[in-house]
Amino acid sequence: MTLNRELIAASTTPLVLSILSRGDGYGYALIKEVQDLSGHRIAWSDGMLYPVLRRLEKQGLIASYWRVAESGRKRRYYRIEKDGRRELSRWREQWELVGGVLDRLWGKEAGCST
Amino acid sequence: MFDLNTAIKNWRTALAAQPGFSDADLDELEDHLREEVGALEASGLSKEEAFLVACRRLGKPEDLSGEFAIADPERRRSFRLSWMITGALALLFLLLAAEVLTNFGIGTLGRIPGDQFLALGGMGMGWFSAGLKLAVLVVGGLLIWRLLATDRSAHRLKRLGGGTVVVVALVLAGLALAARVGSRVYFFGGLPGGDMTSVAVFLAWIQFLVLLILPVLLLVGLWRLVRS
Repeated sequence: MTLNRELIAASTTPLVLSILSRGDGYGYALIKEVQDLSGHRIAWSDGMLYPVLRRLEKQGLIASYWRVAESGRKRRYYRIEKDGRRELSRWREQWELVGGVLDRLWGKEAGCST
Repeated sequence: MFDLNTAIKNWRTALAAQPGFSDADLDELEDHLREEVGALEASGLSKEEAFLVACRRLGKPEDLSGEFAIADPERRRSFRLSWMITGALALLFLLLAAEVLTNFGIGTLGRIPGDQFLALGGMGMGWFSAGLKLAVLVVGGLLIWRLLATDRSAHRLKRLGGGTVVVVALVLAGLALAARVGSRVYFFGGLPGGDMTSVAVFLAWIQFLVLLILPVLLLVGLWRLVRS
């Protein structure tokens, strides 16, 4: 099973903010982490993440800085900002609401069949 | 023989030819590509295979450019606009610089008594004037051309058709200048020099200073835009 496009688009921002709320990261690592956590079922096309990061940075939700990585190359890292944390908690409420409603609907349906 | 660094350099050049990427964007995408190539190689692919797969996963340059443009549509618009304004002002600047240098040169050299060759007609409408203007234009044109050939952002400009525009504008400016010099030689060539020369030099200096500041400001703005 793979996620449909609209759901991928809608979940990108909360996913990025959630991962960054646990610690700073860079583009490639963010993509790999989402892949691993979803058992490779959330497949972002690699290139699409960077414009999203650019947009979030412009909105002031995240900030970026450059540091030399272990590889010796310069690498751009991202960290979450205060506004980003606020935005994340709003996202969380909304997803929990939708998830909760669906759970109850599906739970009820399952209950009926027993 | 496949060389990864050459391949990545070519890939980067192709990407840079698309509008919408800053140097920082390109650095970031290159870092991503290299990391992906490394991971794929570790899983058993050859360098070349790893590179091809990593490129494919990252997406085509046009698609990437499109995604970046959606994330920041203002950037592309202001990028084009500032190139246009800079081009127009750079031409004005070149023309005025030529004018001022000529007047300044004549203002100084015209006072040397008996030097009829350098101060033809007293107001500098002779061969010295025309030659100096043309020289400044040619040097300025060559500088712009060199910038177009070497600067990475100029690849984008060329892609947008800016290169042709600049060349056409330079040719037109050259024609206009030749017409202007020609008509002045025709109308004023016979007039004697005097106070008018110093007034002209003074006015030209004011114009020169004003038009020196404008392109500098614009270039700084453009630089910040490309860097951001």
